Amino acid sequence: MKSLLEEVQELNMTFLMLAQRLIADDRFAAIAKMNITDEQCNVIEKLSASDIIALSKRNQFLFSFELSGDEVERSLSTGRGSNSMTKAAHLSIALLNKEAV
Amino acid sequence: MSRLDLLSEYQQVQTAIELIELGARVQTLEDVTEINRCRLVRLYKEVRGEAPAKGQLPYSTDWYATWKPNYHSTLFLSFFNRIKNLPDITYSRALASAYKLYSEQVLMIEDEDDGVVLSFTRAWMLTRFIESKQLELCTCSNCQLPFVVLSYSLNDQFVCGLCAPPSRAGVPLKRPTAATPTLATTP
Repeated sequence: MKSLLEEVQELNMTFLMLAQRLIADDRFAAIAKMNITDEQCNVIEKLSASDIIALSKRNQFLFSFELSGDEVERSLSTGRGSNSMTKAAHLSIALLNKEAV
Repeated sequence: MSRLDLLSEYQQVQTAIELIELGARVQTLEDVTEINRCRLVRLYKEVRGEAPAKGQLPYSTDWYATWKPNYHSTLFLSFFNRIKNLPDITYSRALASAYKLYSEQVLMIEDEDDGVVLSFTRAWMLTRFIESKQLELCTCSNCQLPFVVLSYSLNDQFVCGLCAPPSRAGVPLKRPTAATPTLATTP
């Protein structure tokens, strides 16, 4: 059984490898999807396998949770006129208007 | 059209193929690439296997202000605005990537009452309307997010269609079921 610590490390690794694949597929789309800056995109793109392992070996996430309480509530609440697409659209628009740091 | 060097032409043809696959019409391609019309029509026939559609493009700005198209347009435009100023991006590249991001997200939700509402042509027209200031973005006073609105409309205390959906919005029409008695059978 994997420890929680190992899982955090693995998630970091998966995140960076997936990020590289997204960038290779469509760089501009990847920047929007991950809400990163052009600079960060260049950095991630150039990471070698050993860089990825080195960066991933930690007990902290390399990426952060971007939603505020309001946004979570808005996108999970049910009510009049809120089919799943309206909620999805609202959350996507909110994510796209967050400044990448 | 000025004579293009081979490499640039090659890249533009690549983008044009992608745009045709996304549903772009020849008028759009003429606007966003430098390839001449004859070649575009030939390219279109080769990619689609049929002659390009003739006829007018949708020209109404009001469509973007109606409820469902409005949040679809805003979603597309949010993707487009997020990437349009990145280094080395071209207008056609930004359109293609943003439209792919938009349709990808919509198809992922699998909402049976809500598919890909915004066509590629409408998406391109939207960017043009924004550029010509016939449409603009206005911040919702509730969720603080920018939504597409008609320019020069009175938007004091504007609330977006997602924070305040109109009554019956998103409620699908009742579909007739087998159990529903029809007029012919009721006495």
